[in-house]
Amino acid sequence: MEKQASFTGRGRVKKKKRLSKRIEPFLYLAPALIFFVGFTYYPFAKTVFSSFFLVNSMGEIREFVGLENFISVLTNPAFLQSIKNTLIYVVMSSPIAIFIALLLAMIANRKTKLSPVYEMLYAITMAVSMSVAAMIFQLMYNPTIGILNYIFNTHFNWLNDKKIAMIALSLIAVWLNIGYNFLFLLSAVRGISSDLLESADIDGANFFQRTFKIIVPIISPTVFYLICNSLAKNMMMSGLVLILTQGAPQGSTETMISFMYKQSVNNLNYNDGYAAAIIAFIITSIAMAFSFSFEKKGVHYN
Amino acid sequence: MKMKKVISLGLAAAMTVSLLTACGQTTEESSTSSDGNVQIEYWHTMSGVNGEAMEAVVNTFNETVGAENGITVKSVYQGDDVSEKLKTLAQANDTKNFPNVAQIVGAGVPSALDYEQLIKVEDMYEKGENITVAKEDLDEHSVRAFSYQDELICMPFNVSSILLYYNKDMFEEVGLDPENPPQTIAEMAEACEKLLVKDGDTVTRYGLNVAVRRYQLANWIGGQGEYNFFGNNEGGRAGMMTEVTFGEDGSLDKFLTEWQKVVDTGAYKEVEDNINEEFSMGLFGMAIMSSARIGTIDSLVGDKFEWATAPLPKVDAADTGGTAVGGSCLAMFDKGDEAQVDASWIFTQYLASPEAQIAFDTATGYLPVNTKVYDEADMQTYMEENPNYTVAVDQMRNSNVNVQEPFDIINWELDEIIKNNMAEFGAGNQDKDTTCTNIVEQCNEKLAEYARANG
Repeated sequence: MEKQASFTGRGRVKKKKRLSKRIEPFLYLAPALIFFVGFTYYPFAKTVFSSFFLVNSMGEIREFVGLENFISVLTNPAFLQSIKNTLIYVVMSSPIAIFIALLLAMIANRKTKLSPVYEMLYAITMAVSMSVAAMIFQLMYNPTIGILNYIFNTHFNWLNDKKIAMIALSLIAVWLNIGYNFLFLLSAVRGISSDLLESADIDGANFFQRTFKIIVPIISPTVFYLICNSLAKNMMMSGLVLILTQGAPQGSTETMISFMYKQSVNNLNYNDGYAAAIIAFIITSIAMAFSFSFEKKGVHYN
Repeated sequence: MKMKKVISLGLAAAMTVSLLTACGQTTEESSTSSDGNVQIEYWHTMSGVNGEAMEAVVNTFNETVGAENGITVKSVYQGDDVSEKLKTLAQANDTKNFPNVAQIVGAGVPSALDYEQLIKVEDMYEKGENITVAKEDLDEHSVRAFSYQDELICMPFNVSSILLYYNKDMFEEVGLDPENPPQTIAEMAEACEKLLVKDGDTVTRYGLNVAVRRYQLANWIGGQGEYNFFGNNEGGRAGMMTEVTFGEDGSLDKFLTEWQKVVDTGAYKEVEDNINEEFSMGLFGMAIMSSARIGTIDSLVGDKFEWATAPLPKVDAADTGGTAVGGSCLAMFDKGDEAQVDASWIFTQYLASPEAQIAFDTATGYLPVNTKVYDEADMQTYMEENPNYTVAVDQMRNSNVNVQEPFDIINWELDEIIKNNMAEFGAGNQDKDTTCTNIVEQCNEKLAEYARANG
């Protein structure tokens, strides 16, 4: 009897422990999960649902319209142009920011007494908020009183010429992202064991061989992470547009998300807004899938 | 060890709870402050010099009329997107976080009409309690600007008028009479031609800078003939505007025909980069801007050159319509507290009173919404000392009340359509007929879309 009682008693303790152990990870997850569900998954589900309905300016559902909202935005030249603009923006800003950051990381690779100084100088753009950067560049880009035209003695109308306005925005993004990319790449480059590089030197590898045969493959997981990160970030860009150009001139700087924002917030047109949001999501997913296919080919984890 | 874990868990829990409560916090402030005064919240959009003038007027109210009536107004600068913020509150039906009074732009009036919290100023006048500013004293142009179906929705507060700014020194230099600025678009084109300076093929001095957008076009369409509506239902003031009418009545074509003369001079800069600074640097001789910029231009130009303002050049010399009233008004909201509504009403009328109007207008350059203002010596001296301001006042008062910016609700969308097409036309990339058809068709398409979802 006694034995049995103690056995069941111990069993309960064990069970209790197991239960609390089982719950523990969920407790850690809970804060993040609550916010994800409340601010990401629920709105996402609601957006998908609402996109099949006609919605009025107060966000109230009027009637089921099937795919009509999607057809409407996909036949809207302004939205099609915004897709094109977004892709151009991503192609211009993502690789360049990573490439420049990689160059800087290689330069800053060797540790010296002064390295904390230039490490900080290269990384500092990370600490600049996007809206502040936008205001600074707005002054620099000013066609008549801006410093860029003054220094280079050019007459570019940076933000008001449809041929170069998107390039001007990409430049800001490149500048902003260098710091973040630099930090990751620097630690990756510094993480390469010196034995490996020394033996390469002994084997007579030149600078390019050393860079492209050894360093780049070894840091490829970091580069891959940065590509995914900047793809997602740049695909969703709207801040620079809304602060600097509002999509002008002639819609040449409109991005998918700035289009979505303007349609829903300024024009009270949630029909276009919902559909645009989902199409932007799908296009970004495709871009992500594309970069994951690169992972299989180009990323070395050992 | 165990203690540490407990403490850290406790801390984490406390932080999470505080986070959640911070999000869901409702303003549970009672309507009365510690001194027994009724407290109301006022949202405004004014920053810089205008913001200081706004705060000064609110402070004067709190010290005088407010103190007498037991009212304290808390003013909050909300940036220029007050209308968007109100819309968010209305959609969430979050009455508690509504302000009692908010300054909104005229284009925001039709959306505000949908909010169940809105109190029409007309209804307050009909109730007839605590009236300190008679409706008859309000300027009829401003009243019409913020009225829907002949009911005054919001109290006029700060209004402006669109003007031609011109560089008198430059006029003299090229042989134009600085005391006789162009009165029509055609005359403006002639002046442009004379003002143009070229260095080889590059223009070093333009005649005119203005990007024609919804605001400018509404004035040139509206001013034609005696008056002319922008869209159906009196441009949205008698009912929902579902289409533009400037296509079928030929007024857009008439304007574009005249505007072609300006474009053809090659002395027209069709995009606005930094119009204030560039005008004061003498990069062009004429600009078309709101009268609200007189103060800015004044401080930028300083003693560099002589400049002046003139009424907006007309499409046709025979037009008598004049220009539209631009600017903002005060919307009142019912938060379910009678005392606050009464307090809001007293405050709203105060802002439209001669006293507040003189203080605010002479500090900022906005135009009076109360006609009693013109009897006051302070305003008379101000107008004598500021002839550029007086041009705007006269233009507004001589205009037909029916000349107004439209209540088009999707004003941003129409603005973009007009801006893009007019820029292409101004740059010579698109001919007159295409521009005309594009603007009409694209505007009507967007208006129909809105009407379908909200009709």
